[in-house]
Amino acid sequence: MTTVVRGAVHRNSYRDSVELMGIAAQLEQLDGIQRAGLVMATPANLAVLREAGLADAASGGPGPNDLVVAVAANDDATGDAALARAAALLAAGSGDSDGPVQERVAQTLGEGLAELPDANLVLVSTPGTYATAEALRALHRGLNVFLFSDNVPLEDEIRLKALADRKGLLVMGPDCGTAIVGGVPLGFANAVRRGPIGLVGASGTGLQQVTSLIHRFGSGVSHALGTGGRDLDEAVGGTTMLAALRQLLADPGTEVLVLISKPPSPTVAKRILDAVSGASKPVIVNFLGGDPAAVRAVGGHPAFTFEEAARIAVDLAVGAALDGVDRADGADEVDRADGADRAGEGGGGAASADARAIGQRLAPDQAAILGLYSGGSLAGEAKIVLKRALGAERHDRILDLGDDEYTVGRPHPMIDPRLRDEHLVAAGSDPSVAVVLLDVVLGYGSHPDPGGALAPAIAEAKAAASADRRELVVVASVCGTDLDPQGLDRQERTLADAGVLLEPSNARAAALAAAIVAAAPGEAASATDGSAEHRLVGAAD
Amino acid sequence: MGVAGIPAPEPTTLPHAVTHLVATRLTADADPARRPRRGRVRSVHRAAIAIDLAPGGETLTIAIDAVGGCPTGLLVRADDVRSFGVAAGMDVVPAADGWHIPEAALVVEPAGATVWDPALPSSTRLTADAELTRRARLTRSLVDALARPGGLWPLRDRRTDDAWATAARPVIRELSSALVAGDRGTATAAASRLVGLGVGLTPSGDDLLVGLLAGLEATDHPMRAEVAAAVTSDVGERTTAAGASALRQAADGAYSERLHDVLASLARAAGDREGGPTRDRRDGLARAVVGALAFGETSGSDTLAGLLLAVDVALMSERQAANAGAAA
Repeated sequence: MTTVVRGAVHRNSYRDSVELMGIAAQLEQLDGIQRAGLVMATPANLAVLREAGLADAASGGPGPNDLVVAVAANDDATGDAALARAAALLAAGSGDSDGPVQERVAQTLGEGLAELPDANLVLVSTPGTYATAEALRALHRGLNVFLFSDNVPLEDEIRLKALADRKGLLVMGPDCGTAIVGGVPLGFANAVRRGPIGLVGASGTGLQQVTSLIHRFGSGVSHALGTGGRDLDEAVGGTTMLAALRQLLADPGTEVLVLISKPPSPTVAKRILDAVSGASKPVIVNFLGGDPAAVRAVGGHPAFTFEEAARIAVDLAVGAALDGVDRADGADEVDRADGADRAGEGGGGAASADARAIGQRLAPDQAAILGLYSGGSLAGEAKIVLKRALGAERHDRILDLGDDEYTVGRPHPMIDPRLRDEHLVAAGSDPSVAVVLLDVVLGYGSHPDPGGALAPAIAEAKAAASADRRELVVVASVCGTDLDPQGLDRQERTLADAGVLLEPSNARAAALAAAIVAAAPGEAASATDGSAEHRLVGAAD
Repeated sequence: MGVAGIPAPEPTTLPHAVTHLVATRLTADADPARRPRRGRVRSVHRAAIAIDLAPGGETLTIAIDAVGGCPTGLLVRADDVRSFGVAAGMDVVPAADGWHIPEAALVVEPAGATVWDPALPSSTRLTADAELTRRARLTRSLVDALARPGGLWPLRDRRTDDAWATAARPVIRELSSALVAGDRGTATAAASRLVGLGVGLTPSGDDLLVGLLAGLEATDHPMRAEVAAAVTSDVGERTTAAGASALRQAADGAYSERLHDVLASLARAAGDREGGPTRDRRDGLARAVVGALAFGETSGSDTLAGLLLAVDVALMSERQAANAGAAA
């Protein structure tokens, strides 16, 4: 058999023995490779290579801190291919002892990059203890990071984002649940068509709601970038939102931008708005509870609700002029008296016309709205809409069942509806509850049939109320699209069959709930004598 | 640094540093002629960051505290030093308060750290007696059970499929015989041939020589100084930076805390004259051996191979002396 010795020298290459042995083992499994070795080019090791007939591999005078890759192959081409393989593995390697590599299945960042050398994003979903280190490794390799992990210390987030900023990269997270990058959904995300609207959100379900509505309004999404829930806190300073804003302003595929957040720190909100000032593309700003005047002052377009943000974005994307109505005070969204269907779609809007009639059927003690939410941002939006419609003195219970206090030791309610089912059933036996308000979130990562999973609990709750001569009203919106795996139409039919009043957006659902309780006998009586206390079951927030 | 209007994060100061040689040689109040003027991060792994200091070729190691004391090292309370954001190639700048790694916004501040001495204490002195024989045998069996493949362990293996082990074993036999016989020339030449031999950032031969020097010191071998000089002569041209640093430290009598523990556990047997070692002492030796094998793939087993080589030399020498005395 012919033996050809081929070698390569990697200058100042520091790899531990496990990695080197693992690469050598991989090379020796290649067809046509007789022997392979990776060693530091110390004089003693070069002598061994000479003894083994591999002296030619170490040409060029390597020094002791250089790595020699030596192969004995059947022919030059096979040998060169093996050296190229070794170079790729070394380039992607981290020097960490991950154990000998038995199979060509990527188990480390280095191995993954060897298979996808053009990758520019790493998704990290490890326990928080290890997440920072993994994110750092990715950043040092020039990769953006989608950091799904939670329990990452705040100081680590600050350092990660400062490093990313210096390198012109993005850290989406930590605890970032949603993104769509180049049409690829990450985490919990909906299937939406590509289009010219780019989004940045410190709000997972907020991004899901707006992207879904953009799709339903006929437009599409270029990128939806998550920032993690703490990004707009004072300590973090909005680093990721600012970086993402810059990237989308520079992205030729993005024509309109939407910024979404729960109420940010005032200082950070100002920084973000300063960055919006003078932007080359229209920017819609939906900071829940934020100041619309501040947004207009910098040339932005304020939005009161997620639906409004989606609608303005689509209007701007298609070049439609704003109709001159002052949308930012949310008046149109919550004034349901005329039942106008601003969604332009059939179905849910018709329910609003019956709000007064439904409300008048409620029992005198029924005045409370119970929100059972799987999405924190949707719960937050509901609270704002309800306060706007019913007054700040209302204290309805709007629960974010995805919050840590509810998810310790159990899956998130978007995945497992059982916790919400329990609350639903209990609501049927609570004489104070008039309306149960729900979000039903579709998309990747969510329950395969959330409507079907909720329907039995809804039926049981309604039955319990009915047995007590009460009507329990359930209002919901389905956050999703026709492209989602769960099927938007099927989910809406299932819920409608269960007696749920459906609205096309969470804000409309909250507005409908408000309209119903506003017409309830208990609310009417208190409005008359001005003395009834609206504090119901516990404090909402 | 940082986005305009948003302050850059405060540098992180590493807590809980343990140091000795670094404090006496490499801090601001040390001899200015020997104070390093600059440094560069050579490599970053989960357990340790290696920094090349210049001039002088010293290595500064920042390691997680689970590693234990190391001669030119700082220990920090962490599980993973990669979380500090340090990367290979970053500059290290000496300052009045220690070292700064500006690109990682990191300050390494040894002041106030607990100081640990890498020199072998008197409690690690070994006496060549029957108890040491028993404990060396126990150590060997533990390493047999726990050593990972790829280094020089076991020294007496006759497998020929590993080119480096095949090359090393006859040299090691020659070295061992020469140390017993008192043949300085052969011993120093053989030891020199092991420098830089083997796979890894610190080649296996270097790890074995570190263990050997520790064992020769613990057994008070008369040729230790010559062997140390032989393996450190022009060492920077003969092995990797990591290996050269380890050999220089060992030649200066500075060893890792885990090696201290193994030696101390071997030495504790000196007082056990009746009934052999107690269970507690056996457990202590086992814990020390496991600790020595915990970091580095084959570094621990190669180091213990060298240590046990020195113990074998001491035991053989004692036996020869006893036989010669009996014959006389």
